[in-house]
Amino acid sequence: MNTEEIEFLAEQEEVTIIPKFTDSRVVHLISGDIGPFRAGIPCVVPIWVAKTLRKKHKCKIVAPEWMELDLLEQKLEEEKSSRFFTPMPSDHYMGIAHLLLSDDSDIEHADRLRLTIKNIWDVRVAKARASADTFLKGGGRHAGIDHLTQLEICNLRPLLLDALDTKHQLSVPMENMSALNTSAASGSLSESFSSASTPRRSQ
Amino acid sequence: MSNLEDMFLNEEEDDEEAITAKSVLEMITDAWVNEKLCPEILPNKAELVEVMMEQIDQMEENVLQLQKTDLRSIIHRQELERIRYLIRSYLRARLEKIEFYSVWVFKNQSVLSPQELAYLKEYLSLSVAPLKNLCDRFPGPAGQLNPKQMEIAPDLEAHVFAKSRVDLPDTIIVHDGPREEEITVTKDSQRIVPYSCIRQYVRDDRIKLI
Amino acid sequence: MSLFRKRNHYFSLTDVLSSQERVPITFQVAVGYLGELDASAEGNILAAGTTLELPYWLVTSLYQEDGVGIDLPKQYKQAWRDILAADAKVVNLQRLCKYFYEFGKLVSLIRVRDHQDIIDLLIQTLVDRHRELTNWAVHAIKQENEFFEKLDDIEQELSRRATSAELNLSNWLQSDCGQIRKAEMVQAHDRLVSSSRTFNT
Repeated sequence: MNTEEIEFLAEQEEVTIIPKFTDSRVVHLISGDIGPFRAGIPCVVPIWVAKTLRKKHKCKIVAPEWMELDLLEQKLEEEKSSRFFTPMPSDHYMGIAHLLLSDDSDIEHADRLRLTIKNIWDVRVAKARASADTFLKGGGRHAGIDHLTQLEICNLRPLLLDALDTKHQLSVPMENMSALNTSAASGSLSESFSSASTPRRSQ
Repeated sequence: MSNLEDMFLNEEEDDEEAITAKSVLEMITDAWVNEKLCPEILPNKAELVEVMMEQIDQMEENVLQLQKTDLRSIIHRQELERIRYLIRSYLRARLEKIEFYSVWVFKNQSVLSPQELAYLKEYLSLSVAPLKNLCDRFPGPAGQLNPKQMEIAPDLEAHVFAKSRVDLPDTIIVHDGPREEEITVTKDSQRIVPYSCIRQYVRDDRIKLI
Repeated sequence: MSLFRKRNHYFSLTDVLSSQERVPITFQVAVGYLGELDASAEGNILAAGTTLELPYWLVTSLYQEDGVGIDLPKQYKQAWRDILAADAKVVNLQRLCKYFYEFGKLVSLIRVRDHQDIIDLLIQTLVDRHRELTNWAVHAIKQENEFFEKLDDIEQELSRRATSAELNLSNWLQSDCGQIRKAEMVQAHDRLVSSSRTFNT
């Protein structure tokens, strides 16, 4: 999966908005009902709906509870001091941050929030790379990766899984490796051997 | 015998709540992610896709009743686009595997939907026939085609990231050369493991790939 | 599809290329009808004692015959094993053998008594170079290609995959902040791709 595909999943997560319009009808989406909307009264919608409404100046987006500077800075410290990955407030923390903290975001301190979240990400990814390396060196074919989020995994995939697969493939006996591409030809070469050895014997 | 099946197997279905469009969408989303990340082609979810396509058609008709500038119409259309993207991407991921592992999939065709099987047959006849024609013109052993060699099997030993939806009743066993390791899998735990040792659980949706 | 499998199957080009690397082979007996393999052979017969370097795919049809000896290609011999064990990451694998790992795996199949030694060497080398490869791939945007040029073919593909995942991510992260930085990233990526193409010639 690539970044955009994971962003697609993040867009399905829910967020609170404050509508700037009133519409008492419920919208029956396939993914669930949303509305009714009352100006000034918070309601919950999928992020993709929130983005669309906002683009049309129909709502303000409210930051999720966890998107708060003090909390995130605390999280950053926790992440730095832990040997393991700490649980994140959302499986899509990075995607949601990216979707909600654009340059003209409704959310206060968007810049600083973005920076702190990116710092958390960097700490986690550096940790992931270091442990990937240890894992590869140490051998073994499985490892726990609790609390790593999808986007982080996506970033780690080529360096860890591809290398691990390659290492494994090198070590296992190979039934159907290429070489056998040529096996069809072996008949004819064996013939030249037997015909070469026949005269030798007769000499 | 079939009476027994009717009695017991269908009873279970009756107990289930009516499946909502929302839950079908969630299942398709999960199937999409799994299919994208799985080394082999998974059992098809054609039924779900069909149900969803019907939903989409119905919704499209409803949306036509709305004014184009109506905010609700805009949101509905956007949702339909998103779902269509999802389904297209899901089906395309499957077609890619069907083409790449064509001969192998042909031998294990129970995972395919009828449409996919038709596609595979056409693909095979279009790809194998010209190759065979070409090889027939080569002299001697150079022209021999070995069907066994042309079969590319998915690498079930490939490593994957997996997350369990449930506490698994049995441990899973990871083979590493002569060594064997048992792992207890708890709900929501995440691991890197060889696909082969969780294959059955991915196929019955107890473990998802991430 | 795992990288290794993708590169090594019946229809794969890598597979054809890696099985074209040469293996030293000695004919302890005279062999008929193969004179054409050796320019200096008289007539159609390969004289006893002839040593040739033949492509791997050809060797696979010969090595089980009596009177044929297979030697290890130099990169898998003790001298290189020692060098690689000492500091694998400085070795220019690209120059040593473009398909170091995949060809090594092939050679291990026909040198049964060296099988495990070769496999151990391949795995150790891969693991020893991985950290460096990671560092390089992640920061590829800012760096020169010197390191990349020393990688064997599968390492290059690994590192290209990692770099493009990294670029995909940073482009996504920047996607709000205007065009200029994005263009830089793309350029760096293009440079990387075009330079890697040069080595494939």
